[in-house]
Amino acid sequence: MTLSEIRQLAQWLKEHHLAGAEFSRPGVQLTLRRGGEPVSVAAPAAVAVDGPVLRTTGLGRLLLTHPELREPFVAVGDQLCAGQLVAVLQVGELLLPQRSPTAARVIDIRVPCGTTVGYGEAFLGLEHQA
Amino acid sequence: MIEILSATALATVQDFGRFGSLGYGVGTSGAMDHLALALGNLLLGNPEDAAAIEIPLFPFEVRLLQDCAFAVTGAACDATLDGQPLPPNWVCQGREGQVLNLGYPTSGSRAYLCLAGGVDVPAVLGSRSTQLRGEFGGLDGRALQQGDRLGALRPGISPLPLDFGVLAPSLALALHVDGVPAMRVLPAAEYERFQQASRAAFWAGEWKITTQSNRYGYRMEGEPLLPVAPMEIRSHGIVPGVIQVPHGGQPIIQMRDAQPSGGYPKFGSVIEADLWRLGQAPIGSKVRFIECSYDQAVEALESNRRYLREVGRLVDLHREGVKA
Repeated sequence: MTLSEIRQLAQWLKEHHLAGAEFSRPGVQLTLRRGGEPVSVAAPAAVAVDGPVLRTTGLGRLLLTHPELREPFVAVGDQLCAGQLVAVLQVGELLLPQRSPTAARVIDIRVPCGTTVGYGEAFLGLEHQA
Repeated sequence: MIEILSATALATVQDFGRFGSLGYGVGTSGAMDHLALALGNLLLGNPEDAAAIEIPLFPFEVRLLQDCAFAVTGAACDATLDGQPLPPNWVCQGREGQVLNLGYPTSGSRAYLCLAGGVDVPAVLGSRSTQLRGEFGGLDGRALQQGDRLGALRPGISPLPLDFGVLAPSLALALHVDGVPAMRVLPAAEYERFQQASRAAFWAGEWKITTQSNRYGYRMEGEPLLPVAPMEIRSHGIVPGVIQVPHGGQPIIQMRDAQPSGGYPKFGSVIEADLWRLGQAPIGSKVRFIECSYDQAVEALESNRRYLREVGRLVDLHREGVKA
């Protein structure tokens, strides 16, 4: 099941004024319900995207500082190497890594620590090395 | 296979412990933080009680002599793999030649290095835990030394998706009184034979973990616990968690390497479900005690089980998601 399939299902529910739907097949169980409390998800960054950005790889709470450590993973101006950990996404008890795929410099941090984010949210502005 | 590079003492191989031999005078040993061990094994897809290396002193450094997945759990130490930061309670695929360095903890006091499949040392009396007093179990019955080599039961490239972490049990299962880490205690046999004022002070006061504290026991410092009348008791069986009160009134809490018998009056017992909290409380830090009932002690164990089950469920979901 892909994200676009889930979006399509949600669209059909809306169009047909249905309250919800349950879907299951081996390994997948999906419950969709309309009219629930909206989940607060950070609005996409309003700033124009000039350079490359890092986007979240999933849904969760974006943590820029590990809950047990004092120092944030990265700060503006940091030079990142390929594969460097820049944030974690907290999903329940799990912490999923957000890594920079390439060497780059951090030019801005667009989402505050602890924000609930959706898929593909731009959270770090980068500048690639010449 | 890994090689110990650091010269810091007292790192030992531990699993859940050696049960069923107390009658022969063999204590249980086992990890001071059972939850951290279970968590590391869960992240690696190991049996929950597979053996790992318990590290109480830092810095600690090992070199991987072959590819091997590993997890570092327990104390949040300043860990790096070939210089790259490794977050606390994290699992990853190690590569041959890489050096894992564990620096001083920012929280907690004992880290666990868990290897894929578990640390490969022979089981003695049903356990791989190091029995320091008896000099058996673990690696030749002793603490690890520089140059020691230890194998993993399932080395190589892990078929499971790795590179993720979990929220520490100290955050997920936090327990504090007035901002001080707390442990629940069941009153024990001689509890009623201590003065009322001492009993009240035990629950109300802060207790400092003195420097005379180790895997055998923690000597605590606080308002002395005074008996109504002097007690002379024959030696009898004791288990980890038991709080003994010698003359002088400063209690000793038996820990995982406790001897199986003792003759001091027993004031109470830190419940099994909370012993890990004490195992992670650094020397010099202060703790508080919360009185609890037998039913609450059993419920606390179930609450630990629920936490591990929930982490296991999320890890499985994550792995299915990565594979899909």
